Amino acid sequence: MDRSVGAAGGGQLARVADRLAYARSLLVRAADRLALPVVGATTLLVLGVVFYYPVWTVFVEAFGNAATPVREVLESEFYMGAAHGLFADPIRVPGDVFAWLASVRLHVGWTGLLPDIWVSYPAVRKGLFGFTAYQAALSTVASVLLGLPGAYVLARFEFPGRRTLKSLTILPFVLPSIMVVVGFVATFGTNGTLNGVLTWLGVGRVEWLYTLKVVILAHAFYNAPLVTRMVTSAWENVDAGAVETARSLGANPLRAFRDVVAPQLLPALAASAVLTFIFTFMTFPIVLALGGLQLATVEVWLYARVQNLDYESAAALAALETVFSLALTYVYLRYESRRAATGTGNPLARKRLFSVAGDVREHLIRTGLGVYGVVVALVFLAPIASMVLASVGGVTDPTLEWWRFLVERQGDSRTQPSVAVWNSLLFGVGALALALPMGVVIAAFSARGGRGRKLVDAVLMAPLAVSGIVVGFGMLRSLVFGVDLWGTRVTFVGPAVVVAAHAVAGYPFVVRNVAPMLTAVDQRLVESARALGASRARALWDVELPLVWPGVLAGAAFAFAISIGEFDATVLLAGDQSYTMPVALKRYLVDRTAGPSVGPAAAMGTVLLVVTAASFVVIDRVGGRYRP
Amino acid sequence: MHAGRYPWGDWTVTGLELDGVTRAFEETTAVDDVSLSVRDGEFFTLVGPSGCGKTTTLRLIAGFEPPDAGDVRFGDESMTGVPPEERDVGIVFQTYALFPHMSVAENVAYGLRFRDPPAGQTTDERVDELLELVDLGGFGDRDPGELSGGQQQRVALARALAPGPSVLLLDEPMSALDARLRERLRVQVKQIQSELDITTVYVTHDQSEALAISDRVAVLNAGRVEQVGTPEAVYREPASRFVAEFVGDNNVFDGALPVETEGSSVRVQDVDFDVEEAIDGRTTVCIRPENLLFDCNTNQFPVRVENVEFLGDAYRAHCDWDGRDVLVKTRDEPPSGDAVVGFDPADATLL
Repeated sequence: MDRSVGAAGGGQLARVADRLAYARSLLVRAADRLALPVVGATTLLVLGVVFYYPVWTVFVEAFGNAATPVREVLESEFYMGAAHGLFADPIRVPGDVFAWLASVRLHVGWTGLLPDIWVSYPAVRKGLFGFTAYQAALSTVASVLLGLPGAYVLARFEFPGRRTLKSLTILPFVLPSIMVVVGFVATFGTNGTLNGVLTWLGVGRVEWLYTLKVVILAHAFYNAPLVTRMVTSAWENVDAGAVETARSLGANPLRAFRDVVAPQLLPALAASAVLTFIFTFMTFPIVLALGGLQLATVEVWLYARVQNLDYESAAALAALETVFSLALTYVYLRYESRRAATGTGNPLARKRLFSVAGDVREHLIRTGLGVYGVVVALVFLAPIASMVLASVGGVTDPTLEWWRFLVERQGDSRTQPSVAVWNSLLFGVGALALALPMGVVIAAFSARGGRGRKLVDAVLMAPLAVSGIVVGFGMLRSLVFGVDLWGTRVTFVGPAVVVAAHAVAGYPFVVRNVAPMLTAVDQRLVESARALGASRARALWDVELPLVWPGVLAGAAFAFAISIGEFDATVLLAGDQSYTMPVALKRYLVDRTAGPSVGPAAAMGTVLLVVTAASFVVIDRVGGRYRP
Repeated sequence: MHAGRYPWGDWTVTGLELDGVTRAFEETTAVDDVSLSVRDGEFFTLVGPSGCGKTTTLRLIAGFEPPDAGDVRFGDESMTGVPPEERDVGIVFQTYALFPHMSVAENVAYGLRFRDPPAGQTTDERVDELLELVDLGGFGDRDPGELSGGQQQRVALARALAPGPSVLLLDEPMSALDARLRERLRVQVKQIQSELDITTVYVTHDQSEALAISDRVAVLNAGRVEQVGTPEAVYREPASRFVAEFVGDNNVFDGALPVETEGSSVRVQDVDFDVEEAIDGRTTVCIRPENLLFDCNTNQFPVRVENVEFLGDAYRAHCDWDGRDVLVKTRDEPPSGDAVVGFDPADATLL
């Protein structure tokens, strides 16, 4: 079995050379064998230290002391609204419910010819959690209403730019939410473009900022494309043959849609709705900037508690929110597994959008879609355009003042723009260097399967279900404040923790880009390489990775973009020297540290836009099929 | 142990042994207590219908799956716990599995990243030598996607042979090719194999292919070995009903021992067949279609010729004998309608 080229000849030198060669080959073989397990173990270790340990500390703090913090939250009317009775005084609840039902009144009045019927009932206090759920529900409805017609257009119509539009639906994942906020402030603010247009029309100004309307609109901006994307994907998977069969059996077009197409769309719609609810429940920067404390959601309040050094309440809120989001994510994952895995080869034919053929009904539909298109253009383009405009000081009086601001040193300000930009780029590269190997190894494991794969999948993808602010808070309390390890206090330096937080946020997206491509690689290729002498690690490196590099590149672009835009954890962890562009944005916009104008924030936001747009282009051109 | 006749000389080639190997999956036992012994330099074929466990057996030899019980040995060394990259095998898959992102030359050279080329040769020289061996000299710079199926298969063969393995494994390499190409290539594979004198295990579901090129054949059914022997032995002396029916066409008649005669005939459907073999209580008679003759005097029975296929070099007549199907193969055109066939007692096999 020994394959080594035997001793070439006599002589001491030859023997030493042989020994060295043999030792080297042993080292190489050991490295080969250990490579994958070592990287896998490191990944688990990093994940444990950077994610599970901090989250665990949060739970420990929340449930410590006989669960006092959590119980205080659950029994408080401020947090739980009317539902606090369930925890504070359960006995009284049935009685209270009856009393409430008894005071519901049905009124019938007559105004003119038609009867006027309305129901009056005593106001029900929602509490913080209730309000968060309420706005999330409204946002979900708004997102569905805004996104569903888009799915109809993309799936069933053909028009120039259709594919580009379809790729653009990925943008919200990549755009930093704080940047979107700047856009909305630039649009709806007192001196924003909306008021500018209204003033020019002579109608007068509106004060839409700090209202629930704007918050919900911003949420819809973010999540409607998700709805569109998922429903379009499901629609394109419907087999045309099934619809044609239904028609041939006697169903009219509407009936065929109701019986054949709609049931296939419903899971995707439900899944996207649940996802939207989860995301909007866990919303942070949008409400922080556009809602303020009057419209506070759970996360905004958590942040406020941390600023006030009330760590116990913060921990309780974080723990409760995490339980809720994990439960919802579980529901979502159940839905996701039921969706069709592979596409049909026979999708429904698309009609041309801009043709003049067709009957009255089709023209009506086209007109309706035209109106929809205008609305969509306004909703999505206005904030971006307003932000870019605001960065140059507006249409009437353009100035480069804010761009100069970005470049110049700002005296004693604790938020230097150039530092923020430099930090963002540095952390982005660092997060990428960490997230990419982690994600690839996990994707390799996830794609190949094995025992207990489902459980491992869930454990490794957990960061997707836990909010960044919970992770950031946990890291703050555990890693930054210090951990007592065998007598010595170990603290982690700020920038390292920020990079780690970014990597944790980004690696699931690497996995989601690489795993599907790895699954598609023919196993026989790997086996051929192994029979020829490659270890599992070498086979991955020589054969599989070269074949999936587009997925790896797209994953890298994702991880970088996520890091650049990460806000929730960074805002908690950013210290004196480790703040990033999103944190600087928040300070300029919300704290007004650079003055009252929206200019500085708009300029920095535009830089963010350019960077994330570049990442998006890479993801789109190189990434192949992306599955949300 | 025996030195192979590789051009560069002293290369030890070992035989292969499977000892009571078992491998089960969730619902089925794919390989059930299989024991086989492959000699040095032998061309050994595993043949059987789909799902009989032949591919699983091959994968056990290669090390892609561990046996649940039993042992795989290369020579005297047990391969239990040895990963595929450390076993000295070359494998060619049905789909060839050429690395699409590497050129033909890079594919063939891949195994040489882990093992040195034989003394005196560089990797490039070795690659050229192997490409010449499979008649693809000069194809080194091409991409696998540009090649035809037959060419890809030959590249896969060159790639497997380049590091000079002890054992060559082929998993239905011809299945994806058309019949003509298949026949040409299998001769080429056999030629290369005997030139290099490399122990080879070949898997196929095509029994005629197995008979054509193998030194010995193992017939598998439902994870168990039915018979091992030379192609002639397996064809002419099937050990079980399954082998009799799987390998080539056959007429299998279940009969009984007549009470009156002494024990040299078997009664099938009111006809007593004289057979040359000792009966020993075996009452199933097998006669190959080519041994049934329309103008034979011994062991005659009446048939009705129902359907005749012209095969080019022969005729295949589907006949009926009182409800039993009978297959007769003749060189000249068979009679139609009612006729009489017979056979030489020496040609009958008993099961």
